[in-house]
Amino acid sequence: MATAQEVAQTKQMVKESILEEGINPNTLIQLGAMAQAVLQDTSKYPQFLQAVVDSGLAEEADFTGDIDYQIVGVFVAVGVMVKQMMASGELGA
Amino acid sequence: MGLKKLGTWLKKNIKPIATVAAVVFPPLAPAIGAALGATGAAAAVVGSAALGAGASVIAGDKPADVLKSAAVGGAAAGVVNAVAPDFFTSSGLLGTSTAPAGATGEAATGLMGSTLPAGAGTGAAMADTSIFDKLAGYGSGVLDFAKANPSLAGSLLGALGGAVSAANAPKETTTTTSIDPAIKAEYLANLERAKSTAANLGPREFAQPGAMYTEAERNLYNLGMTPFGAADIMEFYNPFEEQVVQGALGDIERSRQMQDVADRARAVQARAFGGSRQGVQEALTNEAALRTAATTASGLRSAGFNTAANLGLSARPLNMSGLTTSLDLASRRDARRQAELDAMRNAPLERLAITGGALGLQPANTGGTTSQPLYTSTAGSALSGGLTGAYIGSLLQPKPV
Repeated sequence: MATAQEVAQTKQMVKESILEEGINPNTLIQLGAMAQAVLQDTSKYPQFLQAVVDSGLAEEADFTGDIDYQIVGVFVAVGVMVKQMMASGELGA
Repeated sequence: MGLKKLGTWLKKNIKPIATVAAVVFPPLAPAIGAALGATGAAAAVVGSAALGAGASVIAGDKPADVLKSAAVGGAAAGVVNAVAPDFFTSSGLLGTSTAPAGATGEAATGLMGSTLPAGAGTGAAMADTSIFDKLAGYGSGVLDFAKANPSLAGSLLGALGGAVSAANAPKETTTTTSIDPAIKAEYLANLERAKSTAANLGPREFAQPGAMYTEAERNLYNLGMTPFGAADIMEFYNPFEEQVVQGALGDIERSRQMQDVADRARAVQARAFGGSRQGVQEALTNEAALRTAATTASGLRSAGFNTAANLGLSARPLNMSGLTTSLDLASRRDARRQAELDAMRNAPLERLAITGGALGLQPANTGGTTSQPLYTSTAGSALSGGLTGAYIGSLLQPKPV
């Protein structure tokens, strides 16, 4: 189980990489919401993958086979972290 | 179905985010488990396994790393005792594309180099029949799940193994301390000495002031209480002052008489002896002599008084300082007497401190041994090893074309 310190370090790293890469935090929040929707309805997974590719965070997607829940989980967590950082003022809109 | 080629940002962050995802968003693991069809408490375990503890093929990890990650079972599992992490790097596991045909247990036997009998789940779990009995009803279900979800089975089985290990982990420690009988006897004897010493310890005695101190104190007190006065000045009067004054007056009288004779001689020569002029001259001479005598006498006496007064004033602080020195010397003598009394009183306490201090000394720790109870989770190790072997065997089975 990750510690609070690891979570804080990961948040810091995510924040820095968002600023470095010039990624729109709102895009990550939207993708996080889509990932949560996938967990409710797995048929939305292809749209989610396409949205990730469209946002430029991935270059190619494979639309055959099983759902990669790790990817889904990562985007859910990213969305939550970015929301928290924006709420606390660590990350601007 | 998933992302085939990640962008720079995602490639860089996916592993650390996956590691903390279940903590950042606690409902995530159960939600993923539920999406996979698991229910109840199993949903969280399955969800954690699916998150993969930060390892992913798409993130660029080697297959061996993914298997290792799965073996440690994501956030919910501990270390699987029966499977060493380097097991997965062996060429026997990863470098071979063919596997022995047959049951999963046989595959595990060949790969792990152990002597697990066919049907690894059964063989491994024989080490702890109670655990096995509990799992018997779930064993086939677990293997079925492994076949249906091969990408999750390894981590899930690792999680189960870790859970069993955690359940059998020691929950309390017992520490036994003993004392050497000889040391204990000495301690009790010292305790008795302490009681006796305390009972016989009298009140502290104080040395009475000595005669020297008392006298110096009294004189100093009296001097301090006596105001400076005539008596102090009288002490310093010149005892020969009166003689000096009388000598000076005698000199003046002789001078007057000589002058008077000279005046009479001049009156005779001038044939005025007995006249009024001679009378006037004599009166002038006498008046001058008396004036000189008075001035001289008063000057001498005044100077004598001033000198005596100054000497008296200077003598007062000197007297006080001398008395203070005497008092200090007397105090030192009395302090020595006080130290003697204290030493006599403290002798039993010092003896007790020596024996008490000796009891507190730590004997040299030579030849001592320490033992610590060893707790093992046979069931957890065997179960996780066996089931992991079963999963690996199923992976290596020839698949129908």
